[in-house]
Amino acid sequence: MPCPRFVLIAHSLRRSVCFSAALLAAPVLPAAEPPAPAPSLVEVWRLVGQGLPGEAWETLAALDAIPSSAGEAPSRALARGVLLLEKQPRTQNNLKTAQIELESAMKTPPAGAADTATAAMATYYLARLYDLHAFERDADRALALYCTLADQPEPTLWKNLAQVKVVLLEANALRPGPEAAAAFAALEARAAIAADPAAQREIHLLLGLAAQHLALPPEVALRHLSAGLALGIERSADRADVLARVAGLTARVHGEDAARPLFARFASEFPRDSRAAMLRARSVAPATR
Amino acid sequence: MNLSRYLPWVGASLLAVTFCIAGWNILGRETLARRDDVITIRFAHWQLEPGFREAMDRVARAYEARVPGVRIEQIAIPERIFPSWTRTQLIGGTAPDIIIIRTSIGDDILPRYFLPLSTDVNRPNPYNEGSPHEGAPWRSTFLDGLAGPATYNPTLLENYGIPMSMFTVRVFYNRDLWQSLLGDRPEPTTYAEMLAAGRDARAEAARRGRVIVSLAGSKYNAPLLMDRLFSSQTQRMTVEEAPYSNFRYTGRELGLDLLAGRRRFDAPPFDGAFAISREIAREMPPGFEQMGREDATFNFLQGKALMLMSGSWDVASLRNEAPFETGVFKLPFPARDDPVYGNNVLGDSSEAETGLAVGWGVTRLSSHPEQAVDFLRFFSSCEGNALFARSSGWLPVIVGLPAPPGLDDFAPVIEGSPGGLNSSLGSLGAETKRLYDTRLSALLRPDYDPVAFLAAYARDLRPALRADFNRAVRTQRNTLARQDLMLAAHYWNAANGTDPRAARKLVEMRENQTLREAEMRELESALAATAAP
Repeated sequence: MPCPRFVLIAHSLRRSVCFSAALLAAPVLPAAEPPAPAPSLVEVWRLVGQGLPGEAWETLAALDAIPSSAGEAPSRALARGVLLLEKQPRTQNNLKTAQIELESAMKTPPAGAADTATAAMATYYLARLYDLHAFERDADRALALYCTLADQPEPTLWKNLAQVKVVLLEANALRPGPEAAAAFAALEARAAIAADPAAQREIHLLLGLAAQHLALPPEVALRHLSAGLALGIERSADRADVLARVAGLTARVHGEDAARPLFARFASEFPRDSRAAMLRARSVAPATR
Repeated sequence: MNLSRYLPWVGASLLAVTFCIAGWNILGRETLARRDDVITIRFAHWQLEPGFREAMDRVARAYEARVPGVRIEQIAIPERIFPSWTRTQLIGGTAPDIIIIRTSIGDDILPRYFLPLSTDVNRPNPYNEGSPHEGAPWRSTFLDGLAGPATYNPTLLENYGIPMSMFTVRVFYNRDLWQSLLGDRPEPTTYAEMLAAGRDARAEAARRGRVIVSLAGSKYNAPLLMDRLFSSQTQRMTVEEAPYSNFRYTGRELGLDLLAGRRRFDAPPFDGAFAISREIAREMPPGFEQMGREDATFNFLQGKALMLMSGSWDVASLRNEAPFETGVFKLPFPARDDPVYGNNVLGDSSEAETGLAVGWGVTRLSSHPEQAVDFLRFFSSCEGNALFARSSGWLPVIVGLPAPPGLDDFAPVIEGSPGGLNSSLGSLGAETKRLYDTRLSALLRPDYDPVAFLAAYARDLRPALRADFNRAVRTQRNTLARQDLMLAAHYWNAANGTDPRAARKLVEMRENQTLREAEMRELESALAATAAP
């Protein structure tokens, strides 16, 4: 049966309207993209630093088409290993390849400080693979690698970070109970070897938080959190939280009068925190309120 | 006359006409774009509230007057389609120069399509010359120092958005109706006074043969009211029972305590929190959970409700459309001597943490990114933000700028105690929120049994908490994994001098990663320790 005429007309109208709408919405052509920089490791890491790991991987693939010098090979292997950790979609295959690349970068015989740093960085990221990126976490292997790195004589960023991760893993393994205080004291002693100020700060913060979780006497947490705060905390929200804890613990351990300067400091440093007005009021002794 | 024979030509004619219009539009735009002396900057948003577009137009015209050769165009998109529209425009390469960055734009989209503004915000804003902010870094001229979520991405350690306003929530009331039914009774300063005012007004109206409700309600307005009152009941616990002595018991810490059995949910203060939520909900019209925002506004404007809880974003429309004078007060908490609810309260809550909102980002597709940033500098200068606030009736965000006339009551109240946890326990997660939403009807039933309700709620809260915590662990793990890559890049870029801010980013990122990783491991351990055998 032939289609009724009004149906044809309606179809024709609908098509016209859609086409017209598309024309009206026709976009202006985008501006031409600037030419891409030549592939290099500098460009790879610049892209990763901008939060563009996909583009960084493409650049690295283009770079790998160019034969590398003997000196650059470990750095390229390291870059491949690190980028593969989070290459999307995450697959067992990618993680296995990442492991091989990182192990190859680790085994480079050091010819200078740069190679030492590359090997240390590769060791750190291999530990991170087992600790965080793997589908099945292997905390023991991660801890062993962190410990190896933490005991290295050369001062590198990766050694400092490994020292922090050792404390993080060991503190996390502690449980409240009668043995908690002794185990915590042993961890404190091991953690005291960190020489880098940033590592010291993070370790003090981790130990302070752990002491609170373990319900150890408040003096312990107060000592570590105060030390971490004194070494300077970068993020405003974390600084506010640690200062509030130090003020609250000081009030518990040494009394309200001892905490008043800390309450005042909090109110002055963090006026846009909802605790500021309350602590400002508490910073004034009752007789002078 | 037989019209049917002309019908086939209607479509063709329409096509021809629209082709001409489209051609004219494109030609006109192309011609304008090709003019060397005119730079066009387009910005897109979803703010269709009355007054907003007019205010943005005024700011744009003021900028054009200050900077000859620049033309500013605004594109208003309905909120419902804005997320998909934005994504399509960004991916299709046709996005305008400036777009409001919604929180749904994640860490994968942000760096790919938006320019980081961290370097710019550390430089002075030239449009602040002659103002108290002359020479000060642009960042420091904002009330929050550009550290809030509308502007700063803590994973990427970059500022992407420039905020333009902030919002507070107040109780609007029909002043004419108030005076007619309650005489000279002052605005309430406690929850009990507010409740009494509503009930007395309702009784007086009934005596005069008129039916009103105390509060206009809808699924949009009711949570604004109920959540704040819920938090009044958890306030003392949040401050005084914070387990880590920091005067802030977070939803996460509470959830872990509930899972570990260190605290009960079917006990104070949660019984009071649900009781007050139910009490205030019963002052709203029956079935409010099914009503939309416009229904509540309509009831209020029609004089069928004495009060309406809404935000500062509605000031202009309510004042313009109401055929009566509106009054405003901050929702009062129960007094500390309130016989039913006073024990859980410390006092009215501080609004010091009111976040800056409506963050504008510059897209990487912009042909004139410097000019786009320059426009953002102007509209967030003392002059630009004051002009916007005056014209729109929205609150300004620049330090030292007063609230525009008529908006004094909406300025954030800094004094007061920290608020407590709300019904979703501090936005713990989707499942905790869903549990509350699904139990709302049971809470409002006439045969409500508080003991049975709380027992069932506490039972179902446990799996909801576990689901939310498991999701939080997965999300945190992904963030930490991304940070591992960024850390390597910042190290390399600092060592090679590729990025002057890399050394600082490295320090901030490693500290942030350490603390977040400790939180995640604690959460994992707690989930493992409290798992059902």
